[in-house]
Parts: sequence; C-alpha cells; structure tokens
Amino acid sequence: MKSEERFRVATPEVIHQTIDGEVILVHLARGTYHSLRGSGAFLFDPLVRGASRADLAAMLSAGTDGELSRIEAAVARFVEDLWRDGLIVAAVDEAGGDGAVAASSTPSTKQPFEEPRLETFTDLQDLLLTDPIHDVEPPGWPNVARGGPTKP
Amino acid sequence: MAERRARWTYEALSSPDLLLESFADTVRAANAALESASAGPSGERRLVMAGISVRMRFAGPRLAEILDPAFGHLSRCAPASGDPGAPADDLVITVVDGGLFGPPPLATHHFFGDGQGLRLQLGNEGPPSLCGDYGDGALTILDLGRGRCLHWVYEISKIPGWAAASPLRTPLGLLLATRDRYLLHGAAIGRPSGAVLLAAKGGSGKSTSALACLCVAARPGAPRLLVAGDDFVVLEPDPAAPRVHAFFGTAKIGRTHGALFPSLERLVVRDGGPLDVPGEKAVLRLDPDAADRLASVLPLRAIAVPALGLDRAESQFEPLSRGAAMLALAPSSIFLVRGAGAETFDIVTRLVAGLPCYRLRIGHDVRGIPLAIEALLAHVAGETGPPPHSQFDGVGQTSKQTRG
Repeated sequence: MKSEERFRVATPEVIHQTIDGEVILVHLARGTYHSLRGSGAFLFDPLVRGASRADLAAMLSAGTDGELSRIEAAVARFVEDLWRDGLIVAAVDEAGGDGAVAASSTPSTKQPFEEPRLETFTDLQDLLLTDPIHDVEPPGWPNVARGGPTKP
Repeated sequence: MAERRARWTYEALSSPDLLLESFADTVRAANAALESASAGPSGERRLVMAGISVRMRFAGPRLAEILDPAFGHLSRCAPASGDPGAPADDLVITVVDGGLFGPPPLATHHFFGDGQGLRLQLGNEGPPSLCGDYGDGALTILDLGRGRCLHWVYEISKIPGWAAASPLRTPLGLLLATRDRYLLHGAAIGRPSGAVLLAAKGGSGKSTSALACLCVAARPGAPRLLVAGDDFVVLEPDPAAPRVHAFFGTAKIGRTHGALFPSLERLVVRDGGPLDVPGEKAVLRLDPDAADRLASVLPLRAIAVPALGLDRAESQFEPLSRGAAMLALAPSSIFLVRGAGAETFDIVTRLVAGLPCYRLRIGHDVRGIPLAIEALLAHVAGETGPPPHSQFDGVGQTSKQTRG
C-alpha cells in the first residue's frame, strides 16, 4: 500500500452516515458495523474523497500538535484498518485526490493530537451467519454444512 | 373461491432456465396446496399494519393458530374482504405447511454459488422482489410489484422460536419500506402525548422495560404507560412528528427474567408449539389479555438505549451522544430486515438527529422502570427540570474491538 494511494468507500456493500461529527459505517455483506474514534471522523471525508495518506498526515500535522512521524504512522494504521475490514477500496481508475478540499477543512488553531481509530462491532454477524443459504452443502437443504457457519 | 384461484406468474423473469423452471414448479405447487387446503374460518386473515393492508391465505389448518399470536391484534380491527370500503390488498401472502404438502420444489441448493439468495428483479425499476431462506424455517418468495408473497414453511415443528414470535419480518419489512414505513428494532413505551423508543440489541433490557410497564400499569395509581412493541415497531418518519406503530403482538423474555413479572405469567405461551421452545426465550401473547395497555400508535419524543445497571435499585436516564444512539438502533434494524439497507440507515439517521437521546440505566428493582420513563417523558415535554444524570458516553455491552 503506497502512501499516495487513494481510496473510496466500498459501496454498495458499505453504507455510512455522519451525525454530530461521529461517523458510523455498516458493512452489509459482512454484518459488521463501525465507529470512527479520535481524529478518525475528521479524516474520513477527505479520505474517501480522494485524499492520500500523505495528504491526511499533512492535514493533521497542520491542525494538531502531534509529531509528524507519529501522525504518519497513526494515519497508516487507520487506513490499513479501514481497508482490512473491507470499508474502503482503492480508487484505481478514478480521479485523483482532493487535497485542496481536505486542506480547507483544517482547523485554524492547533488541537491536541488524537490518534484516528476504527472501532469494529461484530455482535450482529450471527444474524447473517444463521442464514441456511450460507450453510448448505452442494446437495442442498436440509443438508447442513459440516463445521458450522462460514463467513459469507 | 375466485380468490383462491389466483395464480402466480413470472414470465418476465430473466433467471437461469433451471432456476426459473424450479421457481415455476414451486409457485404451481403452492397454488395446488391452496386449492386442496380445506376452506374454513382459519383459511384466511386480513391485517392492517401501519395503515397497510395485508391478506394471508393458509394452506394448512395449523398455520393460522401459529401466526395469530403475532398478528391477531392487527386482524381484529381489519375490515373483512367482502366489506364495502375495505382497502385493496397491498400484499397477499400465501403460507404453505410443508409438513402437509412436502418441501418446496425450489430448494435452497438452487442458491448455491450465488451466496446471497436471489434478487428477482422484474426489469430495472419498481419495488424489489426476492427469493430466499432467511433462517426462519421457510422459503420466501416476494414479488412486491404484483403484491404477492409465498412463504413455504418446511416443517412447523422446526420453526425457530424467534421466527414464530416475529414472523415474515423480511417480506413485511420490505413492503413497509415501499410505503415509507420502516421496521425498527426497538421497543416503544409512553402515552398518547409522547413516547420513548428503546433501542438496543437483545438482552439489553428492552423487553424487561416493556413488561415492567405492562405489569405496573395494571395497578391502581401506578404510571399508566402504554406499550407499542417490546422488540419491533414500525416507524412513520414524519420529520416534525415521527410516530411508531405497533407490529407484532408478542413479547419475548428470558425465562429467568420472566419470574420478575408474575402477573404476566399467564400470558406465556405453553402449548409445546414453535412459540414454546425449551431453552429459548419465553414468548408472551399480549393480545387480548393485555390489550388495554397496548398502543397501536405513539408519537416519539425521545430515544433511549437501555443497559442493565444492577448494582443499584433505581433506574435512571443519562444523556447519550447521537452517535451511540445510532450504533444501538441502526445496525440491528438494518440486519434484521434483509434488503432494508441504505434507506433504513438514512431514515434512522434523521430520526436520531431530531430527538434527544439518553441511556436508560436499569436498576434491579424493575418497578422503578416505569417511574423513570414517566420522569423522562415529563422532562422532554418540558413539565419538569432535567432528570438527575451524569455525563458519559459509550455503547454498552457489545462485542467490539478498537484499533489504533
């Protein structure tokens, strides 16, 4: 994963909403839901509008009192976590970054640096995994797959 | 008899030939089952849910008695088919007892390789149609465009308890969404002047709160709060005045928690059928015995996320962030009705943005729950000062991992 790589939300499987500055994401296919903590909500919009990790680190460095090296590492982990949980995908063939927009939303005064964090909830996955559609073997219902439910 | 000759036709489907053939076989078999089912008073039910008219036809004599606890309250006030002025059916659901008529010709192995069930789309526009097994012991085929649904129960004795208590959730949830009504995972408690929506996953105290209010409301001088659902309600999302409608006429409670409400013991279903499964939650049939404490519709004034706080006796409300309220209400509402997805998410976001949000800490004395809810409703109505609280945030007991 290169620092210049750009991303978008993994629609249509992933839906998201922002309310009172908090970002909530739902992965419809995996049955997970997520909340962005720390500076995660601040970074999410520019990230999915095409800002690279380098852009995001520059934003946070300009707007907070964190050291650049620490910010870069935290941003890299945050983007990696979003990608690993299937919430974002590479925006390979799409228009480039939107750094100007991202920079314009940078706070005018330095704020204390908070690491961006992805909070992942898995307690509702059973609602999807109990579906026999995912549990049958090729002979079909009512032959249940050995080894229990599998992740869709 | 003319109604029972109604046919399903799917000539416009663009599905693989094998699937289409099996699909047509299933529909033909369902029609044959209806034709051969004995006619009689248990053969049909008309329901009005949140202003939407649904007719259920049963191929099998036991089906009506199994579905009545969940839907009986909705059929009592619905006009009969022959009544002048009876609304046209928005959906006709044919329910088939596979124990009598055999398994559906369209078996779930037809979905193998697809992995997500089928979305049978009649052209590129119009309401969705789908075909799948949603874990409720039945094959469901829904065609909202034609207003038809087939629900083929494999075997009555194998219907899961949760499915018997809240049957046909997926097709009815999708039907409601086409009429700007949304099935939400929550309980609603209040008065005709205002109610609170309790939102949380199972085991957090929604049903405990609802049953505590039902229990206390029967006592003279106690808060008389009405209940419009302990687990599911239908949202009518008017931005200025959102309302919730009652949906299922059942309530579920852990069997050990049920002992907290001895006066409701007689409502527990104990017939050895799908609603009475050892090891699963006890199911209470609320209608008709508790009908005087049930509301068909309530205006929403607040959202609360219950959490058990059994280290103290009293229950109390505390402020909660809208994000935490969203996490409690939106994901489970989305996942419990397949296909609801983005639209429900958007509606829930607007609902949460427009109402004050709280956490309800449920103490070990359940008699205090109605008092706390009454105090909250008085507070949001501007009748009293703020309830005692302490500021905090969080989302309670969930399986979560925080990275970073």
